[in-house]
Amino acid sequence: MLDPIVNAFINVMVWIAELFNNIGVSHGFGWTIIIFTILIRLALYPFTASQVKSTKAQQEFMASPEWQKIQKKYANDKEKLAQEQMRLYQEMGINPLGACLPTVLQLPIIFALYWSVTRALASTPLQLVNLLSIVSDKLSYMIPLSSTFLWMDLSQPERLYLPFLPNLGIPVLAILVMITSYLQTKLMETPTASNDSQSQAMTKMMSIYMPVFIGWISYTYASGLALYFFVSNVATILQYAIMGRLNFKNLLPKFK
Amino acid sequence: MKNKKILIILALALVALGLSACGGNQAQPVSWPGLELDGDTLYISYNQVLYAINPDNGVEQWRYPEKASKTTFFAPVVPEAGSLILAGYDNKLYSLDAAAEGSGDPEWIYKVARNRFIANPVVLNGTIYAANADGAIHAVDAQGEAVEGFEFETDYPLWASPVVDGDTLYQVSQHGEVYALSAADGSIMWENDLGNSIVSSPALVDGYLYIANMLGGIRVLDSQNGNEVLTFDSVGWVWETPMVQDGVMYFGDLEGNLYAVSTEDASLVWDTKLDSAIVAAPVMLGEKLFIGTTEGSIYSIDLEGSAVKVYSLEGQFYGTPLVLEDALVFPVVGNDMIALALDADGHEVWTFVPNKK
Repeated sequence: MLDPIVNAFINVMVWIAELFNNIGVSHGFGWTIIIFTILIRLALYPFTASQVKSTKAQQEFMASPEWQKIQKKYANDKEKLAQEQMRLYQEMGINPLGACLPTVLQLPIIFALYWSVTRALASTPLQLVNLLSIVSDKLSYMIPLSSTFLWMDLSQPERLYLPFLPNLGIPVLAILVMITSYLQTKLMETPTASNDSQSQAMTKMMSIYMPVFIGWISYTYASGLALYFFVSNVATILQYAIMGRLNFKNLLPKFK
Repeated sequence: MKNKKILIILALALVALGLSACGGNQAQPVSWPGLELDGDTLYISYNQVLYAINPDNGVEQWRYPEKASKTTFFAPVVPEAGSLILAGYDNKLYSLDAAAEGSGDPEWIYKVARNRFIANPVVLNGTIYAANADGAIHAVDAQGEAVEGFEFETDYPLWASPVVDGDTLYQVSQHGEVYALSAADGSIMWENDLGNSIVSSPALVDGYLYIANMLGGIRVLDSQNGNEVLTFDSVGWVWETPMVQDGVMYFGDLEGNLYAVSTEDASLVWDTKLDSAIVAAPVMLGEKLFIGTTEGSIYSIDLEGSAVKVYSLEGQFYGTPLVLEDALVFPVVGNDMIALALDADGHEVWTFVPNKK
């Protein structure tokens, strides 16, 4: 289903790799992933901005006196509460999916990007045979692409081997991905207007689960994907910083 | 709250599943079966299993491991002094006791390589030379230890086995370099950069190396000094090394063209168009060439270039067939069967469909 998108991504990436090749950067696929990730983040910026706007609107909704009143009135009638909530959403012009829809929309992009990175690197014979039928004739001379980038092989899980520790591979990129994922979650976390302990617990859970999960993916799968996650996290943090939406206070320990 | 927790976990599992589908999962075949005949046993390396079958009737004799593991094998196994050397996509080399028939643990496992073994190793004087996608040739002794004093490494993956001639190894890289190396220490005797990818081992015939240069057709080098003596430009990409016989080299390209080219002056003897991409090299049985295509067709071609489709199936043929005494074994992808034996008339002799265990 995503094949047309994946194939388009592959050709764009090979074209970017060609640009690097033309300026003398022979192992340029890592830089290609970085540039391509930034381009994807820029393309998704309208969704990101819309998500920020929706989140703010949702917070204002939660803090509104009208909603507080409705919650008290229908505390024991969940069905009526839900109905009133939808009515109030409509009156205030709030899309209840606005805060999460951009995230959902990004999932196929993530899948397509991962598949395009692994297929473009073509680290197995069948992948290379298939890649040759995808890449345009003008770019075919670039195939196969070099998977080396800094100390990494982008087609393999990343590990850094130090001379004095030759048998211990340090997953540097996975660690960086976990750190930036955690930072992203914390810095973008908005204070919940309600004192709902469930919401607070959920937020806290996500700030732990997501970095661990993304870190596990980065540890297990090809390092090209980990590189995408790292660059994407940094780019997202920068985007939010430009929009003035980072909450550095969330990084400070809370003392009771 | 509990429901939301379950929802989050399910969503994360969905992401992991999506990432593993179609590209990250090693249980999906990423290459074609590797075939090797040793005496009365035909070995097939495919996916997570090495099969030993009877080449006369395709009946399975044993398999290794008994239950499929995470490791995948596609390179043909190398029989050596009662052992079977198996190269894995898990970056390891395994030595199995052939007499154990798949039972028990490997005799040894070599774990030094940093990337996949795409091609099978070769053996010279008891030393195993295994080219790896990490860019190195790993020289391993009969006990599974790295041979001291041997070192050869490039910046680019090595997908092809080295070719042995006396005390010389000829190695090609995925980037297009061709090297002649000392088998003793890996030192470079000569090298030539052909400028485009090479993924299959050269054919060494009468002192000349015949090389499939993916974007550039066929190049022929003098094995003494690496000088290019002949070039033939094909229409499409050439994956597999040509078959050289009686002064003619036969090979196919990914546009489906099959060529017969003179080894004297690289002039075209004939060419013919088949129904789809040709990845493998043709082989000769009797007086005819046989080749499979990626649309699941097998063609028989006479020496004048007249091609006839003799077999077709749902699936693809990528690998070069193995020649038996009076039959050919074709590795199959995309079908329940993974090997097919045809006779010289193109009639099916047997098929091998592994039982799921």
